[in-house]
Amino acid sequence: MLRNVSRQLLRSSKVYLPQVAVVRTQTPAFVSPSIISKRFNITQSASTLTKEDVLTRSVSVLRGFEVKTKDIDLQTTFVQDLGMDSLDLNDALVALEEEFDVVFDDKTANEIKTVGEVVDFVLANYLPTEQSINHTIR
Amino acid sequence: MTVLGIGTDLIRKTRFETILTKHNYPNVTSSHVVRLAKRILHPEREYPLFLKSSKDCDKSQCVQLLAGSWCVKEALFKSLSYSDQQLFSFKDWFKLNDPKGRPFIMNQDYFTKHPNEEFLVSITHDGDYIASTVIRQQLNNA
Repeated sequence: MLRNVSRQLLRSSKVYLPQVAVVRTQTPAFVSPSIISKRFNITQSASTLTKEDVLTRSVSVLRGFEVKTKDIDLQTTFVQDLGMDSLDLNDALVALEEEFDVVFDDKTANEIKTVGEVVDFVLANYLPTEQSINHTIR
Repeated sequence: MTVLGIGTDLIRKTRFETILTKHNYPNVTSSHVVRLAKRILHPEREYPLFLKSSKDCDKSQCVQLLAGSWCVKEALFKSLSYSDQQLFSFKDWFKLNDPKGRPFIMNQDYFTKHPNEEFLVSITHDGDYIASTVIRQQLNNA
């Protein structure tokens, strides 16, 4: 009887196994590129600028100023067509420097007359940001 | 004395105030305003004053420095020869006052190249307006 009782007790008793912590590494099936670039601080280099890109962005910058005409192309002159004086022109050149991360040297700034000349300068001097990985983040 | 060139400029301080306001300067740091200031002001003689005024959030003083420097240098530019105008850089020049308060303008490299020239400078303020006249003259007759 004792054996039966003991067997019954064994069958009914719940056996509690100690909890074992399991460390798993996450291996997601898919991670979006934006998450990867943020996680590993990867900065992609800008694609090479085209003349059309530079002109479009330059026009956008110049339309932010009080100009005589919004109709701006490569032949547009800063003084005659846009009605800028020297202060407006310097202010506009600074804005364009900010847009393209270039620096108009003094000689160029003194000689620039048209939007096309700005575009040519930017194309000749634009340096895309380098592709880099932050090696401190693993 | 031979007059070689003359230039004058009139500027409203409001124009510079508008630029600073557009970029919320000096309340916030603006790379645009800093770039413009560095383009106009002499790096050692003028820009530090602008920097101090910026840190003090003294927008009025920032405007005064930019407008005053701009006005004198524009007048000076107009008095230069065509070849020197091609080489002109605002930040190479700075304005000083003699012990009696009379303004004069300085660029050591220019005077090394043109030792027989001098500039006569006059500046006037009226409210929002600053006007400047510069005469470039030769010290000795050729």
